Amino acid sequence: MSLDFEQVRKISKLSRIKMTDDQINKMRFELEKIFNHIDVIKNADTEKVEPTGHSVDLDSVFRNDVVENSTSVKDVLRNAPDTEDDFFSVRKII
Amino acid sequence: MFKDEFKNLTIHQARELLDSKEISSKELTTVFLERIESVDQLTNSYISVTGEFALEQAGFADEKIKNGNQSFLTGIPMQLKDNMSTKGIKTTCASKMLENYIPSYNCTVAQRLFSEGAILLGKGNLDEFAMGSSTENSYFHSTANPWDLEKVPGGSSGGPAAAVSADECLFSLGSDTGGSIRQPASFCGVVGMKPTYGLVSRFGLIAFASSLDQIGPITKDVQDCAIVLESISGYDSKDSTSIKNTHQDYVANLKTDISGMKLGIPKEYFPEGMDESVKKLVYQAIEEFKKLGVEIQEVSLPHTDYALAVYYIIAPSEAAANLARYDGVKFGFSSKGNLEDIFDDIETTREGGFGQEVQRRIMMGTYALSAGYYDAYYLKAQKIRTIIRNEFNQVFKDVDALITPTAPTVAFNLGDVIDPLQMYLNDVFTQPANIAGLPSISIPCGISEGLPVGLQLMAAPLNDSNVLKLAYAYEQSTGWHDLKSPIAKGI
Repeated sequence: MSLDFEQVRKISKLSRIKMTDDQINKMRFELEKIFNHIDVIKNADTEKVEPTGHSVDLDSVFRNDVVENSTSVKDVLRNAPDTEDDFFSVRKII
Repeated sequence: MFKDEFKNLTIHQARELLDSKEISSKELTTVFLERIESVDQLTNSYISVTGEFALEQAGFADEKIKNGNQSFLTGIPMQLKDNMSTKGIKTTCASKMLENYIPSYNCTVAQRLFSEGAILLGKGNLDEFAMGSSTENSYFHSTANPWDLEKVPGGSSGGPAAAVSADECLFSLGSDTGGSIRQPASFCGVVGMKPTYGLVSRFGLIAFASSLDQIGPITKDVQDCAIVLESISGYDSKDSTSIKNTHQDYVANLKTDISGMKLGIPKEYFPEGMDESVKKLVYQAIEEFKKLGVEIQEVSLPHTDYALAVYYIIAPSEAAANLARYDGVKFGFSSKGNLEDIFDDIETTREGGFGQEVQRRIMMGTYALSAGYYDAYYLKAQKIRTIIRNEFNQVFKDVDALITPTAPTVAFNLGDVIDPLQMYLNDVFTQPANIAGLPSISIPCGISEGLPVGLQLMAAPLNDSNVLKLAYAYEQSTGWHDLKSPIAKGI
């Protein structure tokens, strides 16, 4: 498989990681090498095989809607880079 | 017993001394804090040391013991890998992204251990976000192998494995997504176990790949491993993948007879060109199991060759989704872009906050999940996951457990492996157990070139007890676990 510059640029955009042209080129080379190895999966016959998402079979978990003490706002906001009153603060979005 | 010999104790030995009041938890904790002070500059196995908190906890533990309310781990000093959330104590995941992050809650395993009265000495080093096999990807510093300070301790739980091997704690907890407990345990000559997926709660473990991650013990011997597993395992309503009704008496079952049990040798785990000395030591172990009355038979798991590729699609895909939360808004590192646009801020934050390997894995996962490639990569990998799981199920109809090497080689030099793909090959024997959710342990089985070699045992899901009792019988008959690293011997 091969990846062109624009494809890797697009993946970095989707990943929301800023990259310089040099970083894109380096990443392109590394991803190609890794995916060339990963491409062995094409040889496996998976017709009529169901996918496995988890190794254990999962049931939906339900619980009663009970009011409990929650984490304090102060504790949570302590880790926030920027706050105003009891809110996270970000740049204007719209 | 001299005070400086306390560091050599196992959990079960320390328990006897604590219960007979020959030593207090405060004294024991002080021994380990002094030990870390003098030795950790060589191994760098800790990211942070929580001395004050530890001594305070030790005081409570001594009260408990005095009142006769102790259990296995009351008063026992431990380390936790720094991707396990500890309330009020920095939890960094060895990343610049979380360099100053202070959780507002405890992960379930920490909560259980604290309730029992275990003492937290500090947080162990790891590859950033547990992505790596050498602990060289830590944002803070690499960790050295106590057997040879020029070598890596393995990874990603390199800090925990090195700390146990260097007697810098009585036990530690690691997390294992593709071998991150077992491979470092093998490299550092200690015991490391990845339990059945769902046996130990992942609540509060900073997520890497949610369908593969599992917390487990890193200890000096198998008995300690069973003790720790018994404390941390069991249903947790806060983890929706937690399995109900799993309680087993791991410690009580440890010493039951193993003769007549059947052990399979999967031929795919002994490929052409593998390290001959590793192969030889594992075959010697197989002979030892025969002497213990275990029946040996060769088995085949033909899709083993696909496991690495399947792993490197599934794990990065789940990581790409899990790490989407690091946006510089709610917590963690934050950096402003120059476009006065929030998305530019997020991209700049993630470029600055994540290291190379983490960025690479996010990119791999994003690509595998992106439109047009999803079926060819992610869905295909999930289907092969089914085949791999079915092959294991089939084999476990014939045998009780499988024996393989833990890693293809012994510990390599720090700085030697720079190619990402070559680094990934380290986990080729350990990843299948994560893909299929199997319990799996690495225990020491000898020395090659002055460095420890580990063997791996795997069993069907929820047969953790079988893995432990086979490991215990082998350990007791060979004594490889008694060999100490030069740092532990004080050389």
